[in-house]
Order: sequence, then structure tokens, then C-alpha cells
Amino acid sequence: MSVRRALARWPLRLRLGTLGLAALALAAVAGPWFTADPNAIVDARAAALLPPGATRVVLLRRDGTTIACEAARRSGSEWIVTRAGREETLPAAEVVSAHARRFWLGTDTVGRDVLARLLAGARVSLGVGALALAVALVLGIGVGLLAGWSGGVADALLMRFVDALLAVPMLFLLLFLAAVFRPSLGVLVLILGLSSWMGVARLVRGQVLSLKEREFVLAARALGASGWRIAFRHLLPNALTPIAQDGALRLGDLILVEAALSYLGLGAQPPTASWGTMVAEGQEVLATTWWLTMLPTALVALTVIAAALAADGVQELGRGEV
Amino acid sequence: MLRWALRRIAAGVLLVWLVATVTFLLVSLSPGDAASRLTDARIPPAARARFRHEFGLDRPLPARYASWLASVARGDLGTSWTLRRPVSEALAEALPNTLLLTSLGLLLELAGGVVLAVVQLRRPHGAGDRAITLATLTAYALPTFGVALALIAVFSYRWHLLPPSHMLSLDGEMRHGWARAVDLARHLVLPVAAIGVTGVGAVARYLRGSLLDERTEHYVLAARARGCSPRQALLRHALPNALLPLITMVGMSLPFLVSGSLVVEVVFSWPGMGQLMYNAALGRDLPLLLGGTIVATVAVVAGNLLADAAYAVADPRVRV
Repeated sequence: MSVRRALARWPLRLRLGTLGLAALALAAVAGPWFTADPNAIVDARAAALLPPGATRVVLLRRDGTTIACEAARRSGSEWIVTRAGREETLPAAEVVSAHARRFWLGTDTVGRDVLARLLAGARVSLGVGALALAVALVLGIGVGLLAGWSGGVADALLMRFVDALLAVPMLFLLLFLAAVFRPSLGVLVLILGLSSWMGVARLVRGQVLSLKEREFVLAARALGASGWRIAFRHLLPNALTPIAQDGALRLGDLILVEAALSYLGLGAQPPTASWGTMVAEGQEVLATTWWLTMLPTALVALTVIAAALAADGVQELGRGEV
Repeated sequence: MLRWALRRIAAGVLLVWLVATVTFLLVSLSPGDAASRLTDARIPPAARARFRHEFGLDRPLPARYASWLASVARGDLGTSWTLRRPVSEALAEALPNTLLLTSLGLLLELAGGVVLAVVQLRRPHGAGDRAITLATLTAYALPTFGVALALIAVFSYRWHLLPPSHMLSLDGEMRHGWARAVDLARHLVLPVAAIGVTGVGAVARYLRGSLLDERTEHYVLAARARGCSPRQALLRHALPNALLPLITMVGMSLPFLVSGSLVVEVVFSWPGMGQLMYNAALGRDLPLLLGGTIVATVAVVAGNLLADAAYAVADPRVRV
């Protein structure tokens, strides 16, 4: 079946969800190439808390810093600029370049470009979520296959272990780990991945248990196929639908937890932009510049909605096939 | 039943011991434990030694573990480094505040979820169903801190209707009786709403799915054939069965009752377990973190046990 025919069979929700996730991933990967440095403070005094769409003349100075002004003109050996409502003069030799710049989504409390930070934050939030999901999937599928296929004592031991981990109050454990280890993106991926593989393991084990007595698996065994071959050629492909559905939902959950940890200051560390840290940074001006907190919140919600739609769609697709 | 309960309780105790041991080892073996607080060069060595001795850090690990385990078994969780008071005391103070907040939040999300799902099922796939599906999906996807901040921005900053933080007003401790209750209730509204809004989505989405499945089950069709109205068949026959798995869901969300409101507590400066543990994490207050994790694990184990027992009572098909 051609790719196009396969796509045409996809339910609407699956198409919407994957399209949304793909668009967000594209923005996360490609976006930062087209925007300015997300950590650069354009002008802490004259370009803080600019509203969306504001335009400023940005002068790059010889020492690498920038200043933003409402208007600038050159007269002889001087630049005469209007900066935060006041006229100032700068020696022309100090200014390397001057250009008008539009801040599409405004600037934050210390004068950084919000659009650039949101896109850089997408990299962190989606990247951490996807990598943590990969850790959870590898561990969960491995343990689930092992438990389901071997059965007996190994199965019982592994599953008791999984049950025990599922009963641990994960949020406290996350706090605990974040306190014991210095929070960094790598640690965050590991913590999130290691705390969420148990559900995958249970799911995969259940699938393996129901599949391994089916005729095609018995036939493969009778033909002398190795355990690896049976696992990857026969068991996993047939368990793909529930794993994909669970994985999409899990991705949304992981992104929510990452955002919460980063918001609390236990995830991505400043000045790294992540949607969670951006909300925390914008919180102090919530009463006036509310969009600084609500834009990253909305992006988290959009990502989780796309993931949940994809999960629902996968389920619908699976139901249609049975 | 008794044997089942005893076995489950034994397994629970074993689990609590395992979690406690693992967290203890994590604390003890982590780089720069309590000593990291003492690396400040201005602290005289004598004071440093006194601190280590006071908290028993100068003894070998097995000895520390044995005496720690013995005191935990007696209910003594040690002394908090940042609060300079017994951990059990701090936890006992915070736990009721958290339970008040989260049980109300859980109640709101369950009630809201049931109502929304039942309304959706009156005309499945109709316009109302679709609209509510979109709303519950959005509610499920919104991060809790975002909802909490939006509520504060609207109801506290814009309309000045409700207080944005803490459990009582500044003079709240001085009020008594009715005035105090009203003050507490006003402070409860926004955090409970934040928990309810973010939780209602999951409940409603789950319940709608299982109600849709139940609707075509034979016993519901039989009820319809006997002349039950669609409404009766839904509310009296399908709903009780669809609610059964929710018992497990609530049981699974019991860790949330103790710890899950963490973000809400931090945003609203609510003096509960979540905020206590958050501050402990920021201050690397390991005894407090250890104690809180143990208490939360006990709560989870007890919660799962209760949920399974409740399930057995509610569903006569389950025999334990």
C-alpha cells in the first residue's frame, strides 16, 4: 500500500494530531535558525516588556551589547537616539550597526525577544519530552518483553518490581532527585524517563502474554525462529497500536511534567529558555503583561492536545483494523 | 478476606521499607550530602564537626542506616535541617492542609467529570458532545500552573474578588468561628478550582469512553427492552458500572492527594505537604525530603489497599 493510500485511511484526529506535532517539531528544530539569540538581552532598560508587534531601532555597539531606541538618526559624528522617551547621544565610532527590528511577540522582563525564547523553549520542552519518552519506551519494551516472554519466576519478580515502582509517589521522588543531583537537561531526561517506563512495561507484557499463544507465533517457534526474531518480527509489530497510543499520551504527560518541574526551578535552569521557566519568569508581571505567562502555557496545552488527538486517532485506527 | 488483607498489608510494609531504604541510600551516597552546606570557608572547623556530630554524620553508613531505620519505625523522622524542628511535627502540620485542599479538588473533578460525561452521552456525537469533548481535551492538556496563574490574574488582580495566596488573611489567625471559616473558604476557591479544572478533563474523557462502551452491553439493552427510558438506562444501569473503574482511578490518584497538588500549593503559597517538600528540595533539606517521601509512600500504599477493598465491596463479581 502506498504511503498516500495509508494516510488517506487515517482518522481525522490522527491526522490533526500528527500534523500538530509535526508542525511544533518543525518550529522547534527550524525556528531558532530564523530568530535572534534567545538569551540575548536587547536592552534591559529601554526594551523590557515591549508589547507584541513593537518595533525598535537596535544599535549594535562596539563592545557587543545592544541598545534599543524608538528613533535614531545620525548627525555628523554622533547618533542622536530616543531611548525610553529620552534623547541621548552616542559617538558614531561606538556604533557598529543600526537596524529596525520588530518584536513579533514583544519582549520579557529583562528585554529578551519572546518569540525567539518560545521557539528555543520548544526545543527544550519537546526535546526533553521526546528523549524521556525514548528512555521509557526502550526500558519498558525491554522489561515487558522479557517478563511476558519468559514467564514464571522472572515474570513475577519483574512485575512485582514494576508494581512497587508504580506505588512510589513520583512527584516527591522527582523533587528528591532534583535536589540531590544538580538539575540539568540530561538529568531531567533521565529522571523523567526512569520514572515513567513502568506503564509501558505492563502494557507490553500484557500484549506479549496474549500474542505468544497465537498460532503465528507458535508457527514461528516451530520453525525454529530465535527469541529476538520472534520478539521484533512477530510480537512488537502486532503490539504496535497500543504502544503507539500509550506513547503519544505519555509524551503529553512527560511534557506537562517537564514544564511543571522547570516552572518550579527544578528542571531547565536559567537562562535556558523552556516553556516552564518562561512562565516562572513572566509571573511577576502577571497583572499587567499577562501574555508572558499565557503564551508558553498555551503552547504546552497545544502540544499535549496534539499528542492526545494522535493517541485517540491511533486507537480509532486500531479499532478499524480489528 | 482477612488473609488477603494481611498479605496486602505485609506487602505494603515491605514496599515502604524498600522506598525508605532506596531514598536513604540516595541521600547518603549522593555527592556533597550535608557537608555541601558546610563548605562555606567562614564556618570554623569546630562548628562543622559539631554539626556533623549533632546529626550523626560522622558515623559509618551501616550504623547510620540501622539507627535511622529504628527511629523511623518508632515514628521519629529526625530533625529538619532548615526548619530546626522535628520532621514529623512539620509534616503533621502540613498534611491536614493538603488533604483539605486536594480532597475538595478531587471531589470537584469527579463530580464535574460525571456530570459532563452524562450530559455528553445524552446525544453522543451531537454538537453538545463535540463541544464538551473539545473543552475537556483542552482542560486535560492545560498545565496546572498556567490555569492557577490565569485564575489569579482574572479573579484576584482584575476583579479583586478572591485572595491570590495563603490559607488565611493576615488577621485570619485572630478570627474565630464563622468569620474564620468564611475567610478559609474564600482562600480555598481558586486553588480548588485550579485542581478541578485540570483534573476534570481526564475524568470526563475516561468516563465518556466507558459509558459509550457500556451503552451497547446486553444488560443495558435488556433494560431498554424492559421499557426503561434512555435516561434511566444511562443513569441507573450503565453509569454505576462505568463508575466502577473510577474507584481504581481514585485509588491510583491518592498519591496526588498527598503530593499532586504541589504545583498548586507553590503557586498559591498554600502551607501544605507540597510546598513543604518543595522548600525542602530547594534547601536540600534531606531529612525532611526523606520523611515526606516515606509518609507519602505510606499514604499511597494505604490508598491502593482501600481502593481494592472498596472495589470488592462495590463490585460483587470481585472476590478476594
